[in-house]
Amino acid sequence: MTSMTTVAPGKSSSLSAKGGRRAGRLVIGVLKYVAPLAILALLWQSLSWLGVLNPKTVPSFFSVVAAVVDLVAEGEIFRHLIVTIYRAELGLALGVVLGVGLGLAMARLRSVYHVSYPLVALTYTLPKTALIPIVFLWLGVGDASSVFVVFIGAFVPIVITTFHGAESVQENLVWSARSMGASSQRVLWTVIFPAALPQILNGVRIAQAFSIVIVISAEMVASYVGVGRFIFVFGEAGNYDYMFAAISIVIAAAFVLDRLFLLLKGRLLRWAETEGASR
Amino acid sequence: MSSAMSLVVRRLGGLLPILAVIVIWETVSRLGLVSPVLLPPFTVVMERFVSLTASGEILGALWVTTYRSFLGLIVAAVVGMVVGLAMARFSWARWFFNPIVAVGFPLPTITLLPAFTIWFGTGDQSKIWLVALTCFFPIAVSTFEGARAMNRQLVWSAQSMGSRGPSLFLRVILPASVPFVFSGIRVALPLAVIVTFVAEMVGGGGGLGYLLIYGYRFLQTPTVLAALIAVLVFGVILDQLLLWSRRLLLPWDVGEQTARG
Amino acid sequence: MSAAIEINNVEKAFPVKDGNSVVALHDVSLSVPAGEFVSIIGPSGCGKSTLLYIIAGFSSFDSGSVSVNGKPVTGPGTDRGIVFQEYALFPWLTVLGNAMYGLRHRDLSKQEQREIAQQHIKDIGLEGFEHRYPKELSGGMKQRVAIARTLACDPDILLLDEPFGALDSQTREVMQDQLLRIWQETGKTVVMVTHDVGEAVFCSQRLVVMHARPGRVKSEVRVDIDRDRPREQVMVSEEFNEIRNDVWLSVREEVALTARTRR
Repeated sequence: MTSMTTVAPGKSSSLSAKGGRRAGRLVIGVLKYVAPLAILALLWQSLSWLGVLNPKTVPSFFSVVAAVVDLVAEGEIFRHLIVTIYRAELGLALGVVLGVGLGLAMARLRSVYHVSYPLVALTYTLPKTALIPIVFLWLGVGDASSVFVVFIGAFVPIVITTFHGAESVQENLVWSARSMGASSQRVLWTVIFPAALPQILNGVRIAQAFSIVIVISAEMVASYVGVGRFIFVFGEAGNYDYMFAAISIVIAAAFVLDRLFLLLKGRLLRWAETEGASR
Repeated sequence: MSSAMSLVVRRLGGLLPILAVIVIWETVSRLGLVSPVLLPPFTVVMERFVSLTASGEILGALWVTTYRSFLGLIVAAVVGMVVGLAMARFSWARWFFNPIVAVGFPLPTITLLPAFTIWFGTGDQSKIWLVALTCFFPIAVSTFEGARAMNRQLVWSAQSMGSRGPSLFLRVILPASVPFVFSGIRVALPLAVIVTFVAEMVGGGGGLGYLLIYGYRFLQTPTVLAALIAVLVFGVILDQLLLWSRRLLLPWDVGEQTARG
Repeated sequence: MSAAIEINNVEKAFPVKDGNSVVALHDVSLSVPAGEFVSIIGPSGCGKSTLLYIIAGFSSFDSGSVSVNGKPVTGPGTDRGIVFQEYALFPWLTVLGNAMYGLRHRDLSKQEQREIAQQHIKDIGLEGFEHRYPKELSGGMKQRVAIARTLACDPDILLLDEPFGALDSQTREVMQDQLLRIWQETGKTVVMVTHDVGEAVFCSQRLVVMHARPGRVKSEVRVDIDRDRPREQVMVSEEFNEIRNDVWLSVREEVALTARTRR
């Protein structure tokens, strides 16, 4: 009986040697990946040394690094970071829960769709940061207004992505479930929701990035705490190296958050067929 | 009902919820259920809107904000397309830009606003460059992934018909990549708008964002709300612009969607 | 103009995730004289498309030799035209634009290019559709444009990878008739990969049946039926059905084999 002929690669040696080699390869891989960033940093620093960059407006790379170390050691930035992240995630969570709810409702019930869709479509084109002044007028300066704007900012796109995701669930899946005796409710939660999940999570990921932007923007406009304000204050005072240091730390935090989200998405969607769009 | 009639009815039907909201707004405000300081009646807001339009303030601000975001978007599109294509074609470009894009894509570029204001002043430049930087990443990513996933049978067919190197690039790879540039722009558009507004609110220098903050700081609620209506108009305009340019540049493309997706 | 193809002892393996590799083609040899219409048929996984892509120059191979008219194959070329199952038309070009594409590499004026392309479009029956975009055409029409485009380059060899697989059976029959007519009129060498036994027997002078896993040549069958008769007569004739049944059973054997050994 003919069988699949496989050809094995070269023989491998002892287990520990293999492990050591793999770890070594990992380190080299990481270094190779990060190298371009290092090159840019080097370029930056060289330009500073050469005096091409005005040290008053563009601090040198090293001075920013020093400022970062100082900020981290001092710790105050983390207090602000926590406030910012708290506001962003709370608004996001509210937006996700209510947004998914409305999105699914719109997909299932025609009446809900007809009432909500025009309003949602209208507000979709509105950049949510433009709501910051009016929300501040209504709710004053503080957590509530930031969270509210984030909530709106997340709510609208998530409603739309959920709705589209639920709408585009293949009829066959729904029919199969129905013919196996599932009730409308059951179909909604066990078929439509999981099937729409990839699209929903894509919407959530985008909303997540937006929520950070919205909170920081709100804080720059008017706030007493939060990294937006923190960065702004340094800028006003002319402490540009500390300003850049704060910016870097925020960027690092945002990057970490995004990666965490990707991990979460990967776990939730273990079953999904890979269809590109890993971003 | 004829199909034309039913279309009109459907469009009007879509407006009903919006009209309902407006009516509720007017009533609630007039009755004093909500303080008119916080929520001036719709009619008062429209009055302010009209006077601001007449004085040219709204149109001026609308123009400034539109052209800042559009310009920034175009810069990002050109650079993003070049980088995206380079990444698809050259492994060194991929190596170089991969970490940069991975870091830059989720980066809240708004944090760089104070820096950009210092470097480029409070005028147009700081807004345009910030928008360009923000939108560069999604467009580059979209172009790269699109070019990479390109149907290799298109390339093979072209090669079988004699295309090589630069000819292959210009005649096949480039046109096949343009739809992906557009889908990147579609993602980048709301970002461009958001960034422009915040830059104007925090960094000054005119535009609709500045108008909003002005109203806020002087507690002129009607102005703020009137400006918001202008913002809605702005959003619709930008959306349509994108749709038209797509129709113009890609008449052959199957996947036509509004910026709303 | 046509050319002969010589394939000798070709081996091709694909690397797989965990460092191993899968042998796609093992010791494949095939000789196609100039002007012959030969079909390659077999179960999925027998490497027939891979073999075609090797002849076309898109895929490399590990050992053996592949030559066209005595010259070894090193890459894609205008002497070997390709038609894919999914048409591979350039969506941004009109029908005329697609048909004219390959002509730019010949020494012809724009006017001459247009005339040649238009003639080919007329030959496949799409006169009047020159300025339509692919998205406006049906599957059968798209495939005809793909064929016209390839023929406009006047290749010596025509390579077809399951060209009618995406079409419904009526359209498929029409296309087979057209393909046969084109071959009879131009005398080019044609190599067609298909999984449809009836199609292979109807169109080709010779069939090559392949084993799967790894891909090897199982048998070759000569098809000597009178093709000057109309399709109706050919399809019901005894000779046609005898050959068709034999080949079908042979292929079915292979299909059953692969089903049993599938991991």
